[in-house]
Amino acid sequence: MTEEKSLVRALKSDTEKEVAFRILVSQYKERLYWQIRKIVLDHDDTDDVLQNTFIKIFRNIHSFKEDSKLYTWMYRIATNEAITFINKKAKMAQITIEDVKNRAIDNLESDVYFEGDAIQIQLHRAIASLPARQQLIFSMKYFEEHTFIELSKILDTSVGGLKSSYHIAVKKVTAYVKANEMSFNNK
Amino acid sequence: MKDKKQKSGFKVPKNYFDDFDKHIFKKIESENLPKQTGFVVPNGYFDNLEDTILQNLNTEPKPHRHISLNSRRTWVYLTTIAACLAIIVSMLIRDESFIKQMESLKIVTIENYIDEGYLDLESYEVLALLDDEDLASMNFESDVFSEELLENYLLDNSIEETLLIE
Repeated sequence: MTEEKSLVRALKSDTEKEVAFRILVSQYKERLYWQIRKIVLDHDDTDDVLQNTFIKIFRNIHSFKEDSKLYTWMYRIATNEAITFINKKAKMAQITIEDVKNRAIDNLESDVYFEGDAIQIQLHRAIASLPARQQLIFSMKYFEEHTFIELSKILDTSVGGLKSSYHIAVKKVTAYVKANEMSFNNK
Repeated sequence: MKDKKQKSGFKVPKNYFDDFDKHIFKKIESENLPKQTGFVVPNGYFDNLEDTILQNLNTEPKPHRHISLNSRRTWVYLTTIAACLAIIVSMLIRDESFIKQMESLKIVTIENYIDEGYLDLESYEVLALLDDEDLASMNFESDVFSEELLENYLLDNSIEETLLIE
């Protein structure tokens, strides 16, 4: 039995569940954290979403069918939780999802947990200007070492569709950064 | 240059070499973008995360939002529905199967139906269905403006003209 299968079996058992869950959290906490952080941008919000994600994983482990990889299933939950969080935030503040993202980026300059420079802020603005699906694909491919095949499983999309979306996104992001870099330099 | 003896059979897309420089410069541009997000985490954040999450797991899930049934609005709706039902039932009193259906309809079902916005009633429409007796029997929140409050308001905002008329 592979390591993953035995971990899933332990997670589904009553006696070993908590021990197995501790192992699961320690194995995936960082990867899932960064996946969520790229969507919600703020550390405290990421912390909330990450905890909810793991709690959801713990409570719903029995609905994991094992026809996909455990990490694919967990990435999906993390991504959905992060998107739901942004949507809720927008609804509560009665603003658009784009505005939520732009406000989060505006706050980056004074964020103690952001060490990027002006060009990195531009990069985040460029990503936020993409359609939601392209934002997700771009961030996951650009900042992480996911293969297109892995991404297609997490995002439930064809590899071909992902590749073309990613290349369109790269073009748009480059053009955005270039255009804004020029205006930045001209100031 | 002399043609090669053997042809490989491979072909390139039309204008591939014409656009090649353009593509390569675009690629270089995109490669100049920063590779890091710039995000950092607080020191030691990941160290105790397992404990924090397990601690949260053992706490009770958040209670669902309690919606009070005892609000004036609910009672107005319920009274209206009851009045409507009374009219419909009196019209169709002879149809026994209809009466059976009506009896099996629970108040909660009707209430959910209204709460979910299927029955779009304006408060004026609701009021139009109530007679004087209904209105008299309803308990309005009269303590919103207590006499003392009104008195204070009038003292603070006394309008001379109004007082003169009196």
